[in-house]
Amino acid sequence: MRFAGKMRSGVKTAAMLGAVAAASMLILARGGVHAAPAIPDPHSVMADPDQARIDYVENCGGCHGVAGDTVPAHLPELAGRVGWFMCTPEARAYLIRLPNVAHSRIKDNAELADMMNYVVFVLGKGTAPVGTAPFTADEVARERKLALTNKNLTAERLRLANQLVQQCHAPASIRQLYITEKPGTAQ
Amino acid sequence: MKSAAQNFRLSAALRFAAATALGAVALVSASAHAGTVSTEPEESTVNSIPAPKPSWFFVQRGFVLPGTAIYDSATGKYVAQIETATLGDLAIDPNGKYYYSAETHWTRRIHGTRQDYISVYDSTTLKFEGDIDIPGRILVGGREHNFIVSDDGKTGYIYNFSPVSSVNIVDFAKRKFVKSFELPGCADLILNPGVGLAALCSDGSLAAIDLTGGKVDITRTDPFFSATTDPIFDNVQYDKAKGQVVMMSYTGLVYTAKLGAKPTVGAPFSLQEAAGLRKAEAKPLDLNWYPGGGQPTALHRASGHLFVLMHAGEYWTHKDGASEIWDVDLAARKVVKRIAVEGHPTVLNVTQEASPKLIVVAEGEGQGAGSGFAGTAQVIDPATGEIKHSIKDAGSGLVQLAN
Repeated sequence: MRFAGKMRSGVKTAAMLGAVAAASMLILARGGVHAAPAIPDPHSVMADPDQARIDYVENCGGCHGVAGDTVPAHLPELAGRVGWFMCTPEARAYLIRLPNVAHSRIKDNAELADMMNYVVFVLGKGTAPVGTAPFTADEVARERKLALTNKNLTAERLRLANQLVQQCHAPASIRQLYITEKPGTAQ
Repeated sequence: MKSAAQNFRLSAALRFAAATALGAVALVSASAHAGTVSTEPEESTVNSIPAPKPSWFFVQRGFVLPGTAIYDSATGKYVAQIETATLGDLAIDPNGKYYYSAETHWTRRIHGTRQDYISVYDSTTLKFEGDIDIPGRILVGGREHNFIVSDDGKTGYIYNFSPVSSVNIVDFAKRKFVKSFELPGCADLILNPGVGLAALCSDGSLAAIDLTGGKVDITRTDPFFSATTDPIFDNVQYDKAKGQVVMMSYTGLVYTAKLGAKPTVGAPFSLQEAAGLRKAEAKPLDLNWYPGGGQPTALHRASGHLFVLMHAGEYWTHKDGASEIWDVDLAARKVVKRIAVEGHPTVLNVTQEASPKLIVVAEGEGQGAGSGFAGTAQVIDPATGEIKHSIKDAGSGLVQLAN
């Protein structure tokens, strides 16, 4: 339970900083300063945080990195960013409708919801808006049937990223695959 | 006539040399050319090889070892090596003129600027002719359907996953990248004559990819397999003459799909039932005969015989090496022969000759499946089960053929 212990100490820090999280996001929008992490208690968003992390490492970590950190590889950086996608209903649904999530070998919807909550709340490091409701089994069951198999995913991601910038004041770099990616190389 | 004493002295002086055949030759050579030692410098020459023959097979040296060795199954002899890269993909021009190697390198070994490209080699001199830059490719070697060439040899298709599942199209006549298109949720590229491509998808369907118009049109069959409980091995068998693809699932269900704009998938049959055994189940600890390996099936197209690497084991042992090769008559849906093999081979192919030869590769004992060390290749006559040739340190990766 070393991991859970670590998480809890992280949560204390997050809780202390939680009060200023909204203000920090405002700063982020205006000045580009990173939001203070506001990670909810893992047990409040996951039934089994350990299993969720194991599932992430096994099913996603090979490409996305065990800590969601893959810069400068040409793929979406999750760490400290992915939570923004919880900001609009469409972007939130997109995370579950991605073919590799929707068609995941994890068939148990509650288990997949846990894993995706690990992604957005733990790897996202406080980028999910304060008060964001975690994914539920019902929501995953519904959205995974609508896998994005007939859309250009690059264009869809950019459309949603623009939405996050406009509606949620996400940093403009959310349009890119990772923050330091040279503009124009984002697909 | 030499005396016994002279003979003794000669023998004593040259006893080490004379003990070897080489020494004996040197002795004869020295006396034949005594006083006429040549000072001419030796001319270095480079041999050329013929266009690929139906009896040749191409073995990737290994998952971690670069290079693809060419052997002739008729003689068991090494022919040449193509300089494919670690985690590269080899494609062979169907017209026999070129070898294409899809590779990825960074300017500073494992960091720096990433470069993805196809190197073109002349098939007779193996001379490097140039590169075709492409915008990306999946970094997985040892798979047959990540880099395929159209039947006329004019177009190459390279599967890409950076970061969206997509396909790069290359014009080999112009040696230029043409375009890429996204293929969300599908992989494993298959030629689809008159249409473009087909691919296997994670929802259990087969996609038809229409490349005849300006816009790429992707349609899918209804799901027919479960990518979770009973996936299909990626080494599906494409048969241009019959316009079909033969697929094998982890539990040994054999599917045949008619290709076209709207592919149709026929009802599968169980490999075990075709051998008079109980059908395998997709459940833990189910003991049965299962297909397994990195390249477990090979189709002899003219006769319609499918060869499969089989092992006795549990469900979900699809990477295990084989103890038998099953010879399946696809039309009759019967396993007509079971050939015992040694060394637990994980890689199989069959030449398309009238009297085909099976090629299997077994990685070295004690090194572990998938270790990437070069193992032993065996050439087996499927009619008799006889091992015609055994080649040590041949490779451990994919076995490919020119046709």
